[in-house]
Amino acid sequence: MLEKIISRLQKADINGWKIEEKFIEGQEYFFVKRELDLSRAKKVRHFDLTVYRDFYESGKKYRGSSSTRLSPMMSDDELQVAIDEAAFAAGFVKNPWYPLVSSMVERLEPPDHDLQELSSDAIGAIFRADNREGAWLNSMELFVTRNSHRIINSEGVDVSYTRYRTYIETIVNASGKEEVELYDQLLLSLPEKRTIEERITDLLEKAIDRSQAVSTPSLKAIPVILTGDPTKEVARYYLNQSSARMKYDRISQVEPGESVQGDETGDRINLSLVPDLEGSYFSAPFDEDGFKLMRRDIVKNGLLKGYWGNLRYSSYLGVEITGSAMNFSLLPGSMGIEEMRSSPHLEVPNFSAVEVDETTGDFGGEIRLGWYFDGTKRIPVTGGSITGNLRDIKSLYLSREVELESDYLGPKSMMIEGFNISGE
Amino acid sequence: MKVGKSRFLLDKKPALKKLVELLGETYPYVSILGTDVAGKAYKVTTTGITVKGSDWSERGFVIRVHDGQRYFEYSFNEVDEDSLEEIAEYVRKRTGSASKTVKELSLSYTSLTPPEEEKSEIDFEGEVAILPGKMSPGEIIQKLASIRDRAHAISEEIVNVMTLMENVRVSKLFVSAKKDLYQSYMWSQGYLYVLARRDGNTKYGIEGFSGLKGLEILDEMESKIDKVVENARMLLSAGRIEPGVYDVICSPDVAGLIAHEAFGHGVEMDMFVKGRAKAVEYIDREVASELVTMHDGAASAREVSSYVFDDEGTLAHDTVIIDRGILKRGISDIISATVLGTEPTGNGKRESFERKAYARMTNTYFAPGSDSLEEMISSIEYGYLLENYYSGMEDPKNWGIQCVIAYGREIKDGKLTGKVVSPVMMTGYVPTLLKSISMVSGEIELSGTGACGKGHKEFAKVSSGGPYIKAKARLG
Repeated sequence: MLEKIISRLQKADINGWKIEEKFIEGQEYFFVKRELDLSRAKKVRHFDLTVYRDFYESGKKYRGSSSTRLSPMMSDDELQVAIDEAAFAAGFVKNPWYPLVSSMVERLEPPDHDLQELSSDAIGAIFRADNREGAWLNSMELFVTRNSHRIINSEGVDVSYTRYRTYIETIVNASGKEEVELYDQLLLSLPEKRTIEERITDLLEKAIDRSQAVSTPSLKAIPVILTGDPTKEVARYYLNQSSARMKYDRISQVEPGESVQGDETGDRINLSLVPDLEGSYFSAPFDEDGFKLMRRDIVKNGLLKGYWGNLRYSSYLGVEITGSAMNFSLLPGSMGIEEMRSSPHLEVPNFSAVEVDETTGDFGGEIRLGWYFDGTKRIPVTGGSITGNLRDIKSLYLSREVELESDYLGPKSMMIEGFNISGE
Repeated sequence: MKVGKSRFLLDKKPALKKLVELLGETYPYVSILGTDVAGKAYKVTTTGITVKGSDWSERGFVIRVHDGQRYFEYSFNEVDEDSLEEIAEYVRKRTGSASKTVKELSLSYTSLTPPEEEKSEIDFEGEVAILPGKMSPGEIIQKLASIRDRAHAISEEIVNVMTLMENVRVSKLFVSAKKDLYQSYMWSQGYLYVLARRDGNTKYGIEGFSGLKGLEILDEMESKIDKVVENARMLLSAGRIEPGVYDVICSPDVAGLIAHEAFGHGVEMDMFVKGRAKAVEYIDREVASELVTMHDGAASAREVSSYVFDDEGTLAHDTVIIDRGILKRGISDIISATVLGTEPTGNGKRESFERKAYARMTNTYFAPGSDSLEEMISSIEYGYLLENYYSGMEDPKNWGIQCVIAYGREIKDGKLTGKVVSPVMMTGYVPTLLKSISMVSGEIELSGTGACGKGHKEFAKVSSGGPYIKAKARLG
């Protein structure tokens, strides 16, 4: 199929093309308690095609593009229509010209793994950790996939790599004043058994705390400690402020050398792109254009060192190309988590959903589980919400302890002053 | 105008029927869902233009077999007459492997009976007013660009405008020993997003458009651009709300978000099976004010999730979930209905052929009442009129709710004061919120832009809506 697509593209009235071929094999298991409700397998192949057409208007060069997904089951006629339609549409897309990645040929293949064995490892680790009195696994979904990518373009790029990805969604219950649940999603490359067991154990402990929780009281002017996933989402806000696309689209207002943070006191952000983060579900050696990715420092001591972005947006801004890496990291901060916890605070590891608005800096979430420390007692709380704006906070401290959380490696906790807490 | 049919699916149908027969030699139940979903998305912003295939595009198949005790599924997108035996053999091998894993780990299977099917044949082709092919890509881009330019002409505070329009034709084929179902329909959606900036302060206005429509949606978008610009600029002067409990009036889209998050997710009956839904304890009990009646169903309204049969071959329903304050029933897929001993309600939906079917919402809404918005405003001493939302999140086990609302207009002594707060986080205990509903307006609106997730994945097209409702809510 790939050869057929390329052959037709070479005859088309276009100035360039790019194809990303993805072949995904997967096994999926859906458990309710310790019973398998359903198992699934999949083998799918996709071709994502982008065609480019160049044209001049008033002496200025433009590059139009149009993308479409091609099915491996397309007939010859359908394929020709899809290419013709994409080429026709690209002629109306008047965007400033930008180059394509050129002359890159590389094939990266990791050691082969058996999906059945990986699945068994993950399932075994999950159920081994389900051994806590008063809390139990309600349900679990496991997806283990082998993802083969190949990116080819008209300028001599032909790169390919394979990545294993593991996704585990877990719901746990605990019984206390009433039965409660907590939700978790764990994203890894290979299903590392110890990581899985520790994660489930921690989740069961938190569920027990939630089962004992009281309503979040109305609290004024105390620091909020975010732990785990909410920390990652705040860190992502700083990543987005540094994005070439966000800058070009006039959403980010930060210039190189300026602070990505507000006027708050405390720790300064040090942020890097890390394409090959060990254990990360998202690690990839090339971006979607076939650009070879490398580690890049983006923010140093709170100041923007340089935007990150794909070839198109980096070219528009006239900055060095970093490519679109899928992982990022923050350097550890100045405080240990226990030090953060030593004075009155509200710590929140679980929100219903963490909402961080990359445009406005608004932060918000309903508290599913928190711990309120009044200076003497640490009490689990639930309900109520935390809101605020990351541009108006008074202080920000990052923990010395770091963890890998999905596409983020960095401080496990951050302590923020200046948020509003809505309780009872 | 008829939306047309998928030649691809109709051409593959004989091979799929053969595959059903082939697997039927091993399994008591076999079905295959074939999907051919195709569309284009056009985005014109101040800084660029994008034309791409819709992210909802998919083409492939999923086989579901039941061996007498349990289900297994296989998703694939490469098949021809010569590969049928190979596919059947792979399914047989994989069902055996899954059994081995379960046995080795001393786990067990949920024991399920296969579905009892009645013979049915359906051939449905939907209609829209203007088919996407009636305008060239250049004309569509030009129309979106004119909307963008109009926004910029209104104010120099507008720094970026995004206009997006997407048309998607959904074609699905479902075959089993007794069913031969086919449907094609089309939905479209559009967005207007306006970014405004004043003295470094940035806010945005957003408005969505959706329906079983074609290019006619472009005119709707054009008619609303002034309002979106006005909202974006209004938010530049918005303040922060003082956290507390207030009398509120929710606009139809916010009411829809409440219907969706508060009870929609909570009555997805796969949650009943897992013991994840508090609702199961409240069937035939009061959960809301008697002014509240709530529906869900692909046949309950004409919006983006209106289909003839779901992804498991169950025909569309109109389910009354809450009837005058009393919780009546949930919505289900086939597996949940089998476990619970209930009838499936046509809510078995997949993100795509590559994913599992879950119990999912379709078109979920509160039914209209008899009050007017003016009467509601004049009845409030101090509170907020809540309009537009950014997101929501469910908590079916513990009936919490989180809604991030774009803004609230202050009401004082029965009148709008012109003061605005933004954003507004609405949280609380679902029955408390629904029981506090004291007024309901007479007309409803539904909207189906964006996507609904189950947890944080499995994105599916749904719509939600309702009338204006007056309630008491905790805002922060």
